[in-house]
Amino acid sequence: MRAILRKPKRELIVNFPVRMDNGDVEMFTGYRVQHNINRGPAKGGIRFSPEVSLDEVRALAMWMTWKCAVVAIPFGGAKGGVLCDPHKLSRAELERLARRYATEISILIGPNSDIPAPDMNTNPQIMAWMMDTFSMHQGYSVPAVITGKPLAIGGSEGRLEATARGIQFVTREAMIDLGMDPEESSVVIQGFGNVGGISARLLYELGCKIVALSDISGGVYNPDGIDVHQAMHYSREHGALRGLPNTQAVTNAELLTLPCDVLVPAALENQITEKNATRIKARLIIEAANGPTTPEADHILNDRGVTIVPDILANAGGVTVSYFEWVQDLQRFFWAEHEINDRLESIMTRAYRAVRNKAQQQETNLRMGAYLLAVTRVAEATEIRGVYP
Amino acid sequence: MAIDIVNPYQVAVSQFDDAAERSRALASDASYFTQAET
Repeated sequence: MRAILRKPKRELIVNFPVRMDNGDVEMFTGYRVQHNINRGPAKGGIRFSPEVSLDEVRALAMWMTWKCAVVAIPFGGAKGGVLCDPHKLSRAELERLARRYATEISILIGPNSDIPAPDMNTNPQIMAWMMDTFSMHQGYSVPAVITGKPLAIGGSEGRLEATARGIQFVTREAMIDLGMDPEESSVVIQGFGNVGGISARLLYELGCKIVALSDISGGVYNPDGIDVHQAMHYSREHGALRGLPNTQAVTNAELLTLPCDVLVPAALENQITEKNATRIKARLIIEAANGPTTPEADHILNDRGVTIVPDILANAGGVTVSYFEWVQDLQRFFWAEHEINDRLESIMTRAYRAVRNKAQQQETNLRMGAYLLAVTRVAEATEIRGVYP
Repeated sequence: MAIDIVNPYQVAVSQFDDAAERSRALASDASYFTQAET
């Protein structure tokens, strides 16, 4: 069993040409990895980045398997990526790249087999091009092949905010367990994109005092609290948080070690390392990003008694509402936003409590509790299905 | 941002291995195919 679950089921590498605006043809490399499909169709996002590698995609696919199992939605894990710098591509080039990549991986994807979604540097428009490409090949619309689409073509209400809303729910539950009052708690958030920015707003609305925020330009800090609505407005107007009135500038590295009760890394992998783990002041870390804490840092923080809500639980709100979108597309029956949010709250709260209970039973931390719960569910499905032939 | 060179797949596998070590479901001496932890 361990050997079965330890390796990805399928790995597809595609090398494909794309015609650029100047008439040249450039070659690109892409990946689609399915880690495990015993609990249902493979599910996982697609990222466009110069940093994409097969090992990164493998890791993210494996984490998707556990993430779907933790929140008990009927999907396996997958991930995809294209090695490119999307910021250097025109809109037309980006569309041709997305459509050709969708064609290349169409031997794997489908509404019953493997359902991609947005991830780093991909968005609803790119999902729309990929869904359209797949549908053109079929001869009819197949909205359920992709999630994270625009509402006009079968997207779901609440999808954009889903990951952040999940962060809000698990943060609230963890605070209850730790006896923390949101209105007495200060929060630092690294990352101000779709996840970090909306998490900041939702935690602010929960009553927390947001003392520091950051984006790629650096961080801003005010120990007396930042008005998140004002910060969002400022960021939209200036393109960055840098220079936000009534704040002092800090680097992204300094931000992580600022005095606070809750730290929400919502940017990249490997931000909390053995080099800074001893200086982190937060007593609660909510892993909104995938893999923000290295294993060495994890040990240090556990020894120091810091509670970490692990990524495979904390940021599962996104894939949960992707599941809702897929169900709605298959049924051609769409739900109101409050129904989406109510169902999301129910799933995230139940998942958090199941993880907490598992951790308590096994006398371990939340990360191990989440892994034990997830691995057991995937192992159970694999055992019941048996080994073919 | 503070980035260490870490292979994410090695991290993912090592996290799985840690869980597998502790999981009765995946105990090496008791095939999960005959003994499921539910």
